[in-house]
Formats: sequence, C-alpha cells, structure tokens
Amino acid sequence: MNQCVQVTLTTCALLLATVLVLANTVAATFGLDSIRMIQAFNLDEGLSITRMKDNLEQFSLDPDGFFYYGNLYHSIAYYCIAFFEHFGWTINTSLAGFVLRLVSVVSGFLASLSLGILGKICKLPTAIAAGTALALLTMPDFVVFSRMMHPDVLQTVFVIVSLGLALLRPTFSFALMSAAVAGLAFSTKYIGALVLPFSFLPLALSALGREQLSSRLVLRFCLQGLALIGAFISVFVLTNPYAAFDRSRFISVFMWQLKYSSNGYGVVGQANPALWLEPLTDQFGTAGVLYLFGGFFLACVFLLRDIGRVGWRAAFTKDDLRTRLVLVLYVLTTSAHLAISIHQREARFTYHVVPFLIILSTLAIFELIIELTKQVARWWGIAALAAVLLVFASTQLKFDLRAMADVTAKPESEVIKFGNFVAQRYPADANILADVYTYLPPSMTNVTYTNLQTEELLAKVTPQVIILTRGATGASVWKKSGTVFSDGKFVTDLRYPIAPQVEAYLNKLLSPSSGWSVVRESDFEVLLQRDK
Amino acid sequence: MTAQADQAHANLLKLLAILIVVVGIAAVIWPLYRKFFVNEWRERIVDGEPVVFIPDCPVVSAHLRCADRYTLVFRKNENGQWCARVGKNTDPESSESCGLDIDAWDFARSWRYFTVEGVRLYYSWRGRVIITPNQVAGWLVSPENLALRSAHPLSIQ
Repeated sequence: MNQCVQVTLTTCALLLATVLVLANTVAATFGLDSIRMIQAFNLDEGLSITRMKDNLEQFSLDPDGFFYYGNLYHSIAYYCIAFFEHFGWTINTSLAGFVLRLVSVVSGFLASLSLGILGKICKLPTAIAAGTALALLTMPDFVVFSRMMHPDVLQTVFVIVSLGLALLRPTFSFALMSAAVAGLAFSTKYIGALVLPFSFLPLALSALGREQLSSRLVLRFCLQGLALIGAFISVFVLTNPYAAFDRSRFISVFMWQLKYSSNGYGVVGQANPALWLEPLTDQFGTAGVLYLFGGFFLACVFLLRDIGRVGWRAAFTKDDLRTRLVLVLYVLTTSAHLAISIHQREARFTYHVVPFLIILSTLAIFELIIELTKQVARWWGIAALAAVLLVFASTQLKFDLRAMADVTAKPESEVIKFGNFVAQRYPADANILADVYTYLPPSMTNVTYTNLQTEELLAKVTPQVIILTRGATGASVWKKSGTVFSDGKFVTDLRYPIAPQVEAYLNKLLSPSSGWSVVRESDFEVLLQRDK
Repeated sequence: MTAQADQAHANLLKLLAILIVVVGIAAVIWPLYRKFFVNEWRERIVDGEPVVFIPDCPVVSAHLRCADRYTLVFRKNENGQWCARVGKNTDPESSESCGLDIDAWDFARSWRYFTVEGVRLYYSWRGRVIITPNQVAGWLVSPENLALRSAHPLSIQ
C-alpha cells in the first residue's frame, strides 16, 4: 500500500481510538455518588464496589466465597486503590468506583492494541491491522463493558495475548508464556481456560511438521503439555489463592456458574444456536455479521486450498499457514462451545471469539484482494479495505458516543428522582423493603434490599414502605404497558418458575384488605406504603 | 573439551540464576501467602496477641450487637490451662474464663471456636466467624489493622 495512504489511515484509526478511550474515561466518572446509586443502575457494579469496600476495610483480598469470576480483576483494582491510599489519598466511593472502571477502560485499550499487534503477526498491513483493532474497540457492548466494574474486558486482553504469544513463535518457552497468560485469563474469568489447548497447538503442529511421529515425540509432547498445565495452574493458584485453598466452595460455585450460563438468565434458554445471531447483529449490524461469517467461511476455504497445495506436514512448518490453521480451529472450537453450551446469549460471552473472527475474516478478504487485483489496483484495494474498516468503526463510534450520553444523564434519571422523592416523603429511619435496582439516598438507613419479595419476607421485615422494580421482583410479572399498577393487569413470563408466586404476591398487595396503597409509580418502579 | 566445559559452566550459572530469581520471588511473596499455610489467627491466639471480633450487620444472634467490638486475649495460667479474656468495646472490665481447649472443634477441624456473650463462635484460617455452618456471624480483625483503618478511614458509602 502507498506509504502516505497507509500512514493517513493508521493516524485516523489512532485518532478514533483516542476519542473513544477518552470519552469512555469521562463517562466512567458518572453515577458514582454512592453504592446505592451504582447498584441502582448495575447490580454487578454495586456488588463489585461493596466487595472492594469490605476488602479495603479488612486489608484482605478474601472474596468471601464470591467465586463466580476469578479474583484477578478485583485484585488489580485493589492494589491500585491501595497504592493511592499509601500516598494519603482519601478513598471514597467515587475514587474506588472510578479505579475499578478505569481498569476496564485500560483493558479495553490494551485488548484493541493486542489485536492490532496480532493482525501484524498475521501479516496484515498496519492500516488494516489498526482497522481490525478499532472494529473491536468500537463494538458497542465492548465499549459498555470497557467502562464497567466487570472482568470481561480484562479477560479479553489475556486471551488475545495468550494466543498471540503461542502464534508468535512455536517454541516451548513461548508456549509456556502463553499458558501462563491463559492462566491469567482463567484467573479473571473461567472461560479463559479454553485458550490453554491452543497455547500448545502451534508448538505441537510445528514439531509434527518437522519430525516423524514417534513414541519419543509423544513423550516430549506429554512432558511439555504437563509443564504448560503446571504453568496454567500455578498462575491461577498464585492469583486466586482463596479459590485454591477453599476448594470445595470454589468447585460448587464454579459448577453453579457453568450451569447458570448454560441455562441462561435464571430461565431455561432455548437450545437453538442460531439465536446467537441476534446479539451479534445488534453489535455489528447485518453487514458486519455477513462480513464476519462470510470472511470466516472464505478463510476456511483459502486455508483448505493452501494446505491442499503444500500438504499437511509442510503446512505445519509454514508460519502463515500454521497461524491461520490454529486461529480457524480456535474459532471453530470456541464457537461450538458457545453454540452448544452457553444459552446465556449476551454479547460479552463472545469476547474471546469475536477478536479472532475479526482477524480471520479480514485476513481472508485481504487475501481475496491480493489474488483478484494487479499491483496498482492492489494498493487501492487494500487501502479501500482499511478505509471500509475505519468507516464501519466511525459509524459504531457514533452509537457508542450516544450511549455514553445516556450515562451522563444518570444523576437526573427517573430512578434517582424516584429515590429522592422517597427520601423527602419519609423519615430517614423509615423501614423500607426495596427491590434491588432501587435507588435510595444514603440518608435512608433502614432499608432491606432483596432480589425477590415474598410474603414471608414481608412478614419478617414488616416494612412501612415497599418498592418494587421491574428488574427484580417484577422480572417475571409486571404491569401491562399503558396500565397502572392498581389496575391489576399483569404480563406474566411463565418461563420463570417463580412467576405464579410473584403474581399471587402482587395481587395480595393490591387487594383492598391488604393495607397497602400505591403512592407513586413509573414504568420501572412502584412505591407502596402501609395504610395508617 | 574447553568448549564443553564452558557450556556446562554456562548451564550451571543459568540454573543458579533461575534458582536465585525463584527463591527471591518466593521470599518477597511469602508474607502474602503465609496465611494459606499457617492459621495466623490461631497463631495470634497461642501467642497471647489480641484478636478483635466484629459482628456482621445485621447481627445473627440476639446476644450480639451490630456496632460492638469484642477483643479476645488468650493466655496460659500457672496451671497450664488456657484462659480467655473478652473485652467489649473499650470497656476495661472483662471477665476471664479458664480451662479452655483452644484446639477444640465441633463439626470440622478447620473451624475452632471461642465464646463471646455466651455464644459459641467458630473461626477459620480466613478469619471468618460463624455461629453454625450456614450462619455467618462476622470477622476477626487484628487490633493493628483496626488502628490503621481508624487512622485512614474509608469514605465508601
């Protein structure tokens, strides 16, 4: 590609990336006034900051049985906050929350940078590699999780780096480093374990290409494999010691997590793997999904053709072919795992697949351009591909910045106004039973939060005020659109086994003899108070 | 021969360097991981160092109060028996009970117990305190950490 065009396109990509990262950093400062404000918008964030508070209080990283993710993301944020505290900084909600989010912001940038470098390893021109990096960085869900107190984006960095190291050089030392980084990915989120076999694969393929299969070679593979597993486990134990020393609890939570993600959202999700197209189309649009899967199909075709030309053994020794083979096998394996085992169809569950899908599809289209065009036209074809990626990323960036605008409106949102109304109307020590996702100012001291209100809980807490939310108790039963709560017209989602019980509870609250009356309601919340 | 000897010498040096790095790293990180191999709470108790029990809020026993802190100090008396003194908050008056077995356990060896306000509380190496296997009561904290946190209070609310 013409050097000048390449530099211009790469600079544009860098500028777009800078705008996104800076905007995301600014957006990460909103809605951090109190733990209650944080949890009103995102339960996971509320949990994360509450855990951080407990850990800082006790000078300990003990997750206290929270093994739903690995503890590495939390540990990094903990040490960052402890670093500031060491220099006398006052650790308040805003600072702790921002540091937790900043770890994700930085991780998002690093994931994108790593993908760009992987693109270079795969011999993509710089401008196109920058375009692939930007395609990941601007993926709307990835942008959201890049400013969230959540480990998904950090895990993505480790997955990309791990596979990148294994592909960079098919030597034992690089495979060992790759396994150690795969251990870091697993220490962050358990799906990172899927990378481990692919830490070993380039080394094994390279050896199989150069040497005849023999018992000596198999023995060497076994020993090398054991060393990689040892490195992987050692890293996990070092970064998640509480999981390693509280094994029975860790295993039970780990199994629960597996079951949860394979069922989906607390209800039994449908097994149809085509349903994955919906979140992917949400993220990339129809054209983007066609680009990804069309490109991947083309990558498979080119790979089979090239292997057919040179033969399997020779293919294993060629860096380019071996890299493409490993990437295709990785994408096939992880996609099959998603299609078969994961029914919790959220875009973030694809973070360990999408980056490689972007690289492979771009590689295939790049190769297609090379094959179909002559020298001069080839330059323009490559420049056009880089430009298309930039235009796509710019369009995505527009959506991302609009989504960030919503974040900046958090302090003035209806949920916050609702909570402030409750605080103005009732005394600070009013006994309140509130669903999670309810915002109440910290001045309200006598609040019991719950995921699900029941008659038993109501009898136990004996509240003066009840707040129901659509995200918690109302997840399975909620008022019909266009009606008010007291109409008693509900939409029931029978996929939730708990729905009939919730409906009975809501109807009981509404019955004239219940002693409860509605004070205020929105589309998302209902406030009831006990009649005097 | 000389080349072979040089190679062997270089390999030995390499091995030595790796060993020094590994031992160095282990020495640096050992204090962070010691608690996973040694029950430091039991160690404090045996050494007669105070440990502070802080109940979780809301409390799980009517005998405990949310904001209270109980300081426990164990010692061996002249008859070789273990005695425990439990102080509540800053109250200087505290009763001592003797004849205790600091290694006694009920349902699991990893959960030893002490008594506060007549309630038997079990603690583990993590410093977590429970009343029954399914009922968490609070945490153990060292007075040093408590003082450190009081000097630099968090303002996360």
